[in-house]
Amino acid sequence: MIISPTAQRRIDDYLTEFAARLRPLSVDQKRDIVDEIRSHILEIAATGRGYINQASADAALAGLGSASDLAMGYDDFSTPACWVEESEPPARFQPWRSTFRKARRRATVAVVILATFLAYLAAGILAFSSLTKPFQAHRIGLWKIGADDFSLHLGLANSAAAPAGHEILGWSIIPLGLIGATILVSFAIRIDLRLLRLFRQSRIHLVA
Amino acid sequence: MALPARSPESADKWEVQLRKGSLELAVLAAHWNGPLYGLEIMRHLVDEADLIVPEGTIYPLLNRLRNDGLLSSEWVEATGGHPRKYYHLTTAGRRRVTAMARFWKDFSNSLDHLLAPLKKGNRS
Repeated sequence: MIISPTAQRRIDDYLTEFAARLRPLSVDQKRDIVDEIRSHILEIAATGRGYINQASADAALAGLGSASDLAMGYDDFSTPACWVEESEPPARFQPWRSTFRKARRRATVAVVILATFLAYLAAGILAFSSLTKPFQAHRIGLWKIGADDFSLHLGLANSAAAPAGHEILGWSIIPLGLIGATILVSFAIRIDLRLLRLFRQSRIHLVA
Repeated sequence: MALPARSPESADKWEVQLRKGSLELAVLAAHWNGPLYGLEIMRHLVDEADLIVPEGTIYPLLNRLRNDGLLSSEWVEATGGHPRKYYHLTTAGRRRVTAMARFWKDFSNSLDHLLAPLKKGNRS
């Protein structure tokens, strides 16, 4: 088959852009997809001629649409997002890939649950400190202990007397603690509600 | 085949949605009698079902059906010098298209029953 240099350049440019816009795939998968599109272009462009010029190449490319739209079509038909299991396993089932995907989903869910638990815990400590500060002013607070900036102590002091070091927040721990607790609880509740909604909508199995 | 020109835009959209929804069934069914490559599939769908599938749609769909294990593919050298990628139904694909065809038949029968009064109304 004879292809004019201009036509070859047009086709190569189109396929280069198309390959660049395809979602991350293995080298073999990408090559396979691009080769198929190339084969299509060459056949359409040469139909009834036996040679390809710029006009026939342009017509073939126009039929495919823009390279980015074509690449996006492969996204649309891609496998579902990680939160949703596929409706049916493929015939050539690869157990290791499915197991890895499930393990990754479960690990992500576990991390999210842990994060929200820690958020609730931190909110509880802040709220407790804020609400009990008026009653235990010398024992409740945020102290800087030692020269190291990271030596902080939040909450109840161990003895009736205030701990060594100096209190950082003073009475402002009340509004700051309440605001911080509210923000943390709101954040955690939003995450949990989203997780619950996803769980109901999808077929995530949290228990093996 | 298209709806009459005076149909509202929503009717055209419905027709498009209906064709889109049946595309997977049509593509799988096209492979029932043997392997086909992309352009052959498109021509087969036009010839047999008057179903025009855009070129930018057929290849991503074929890729997805292959990833789902319903089709398998192989490259074959063609007389034109460039190789062609042929697809054929896998065992799972045959099971799937059979089930889809059965559903389609039941569904269209039910719909025919529902539409029967409209046909009587048109005759009178």
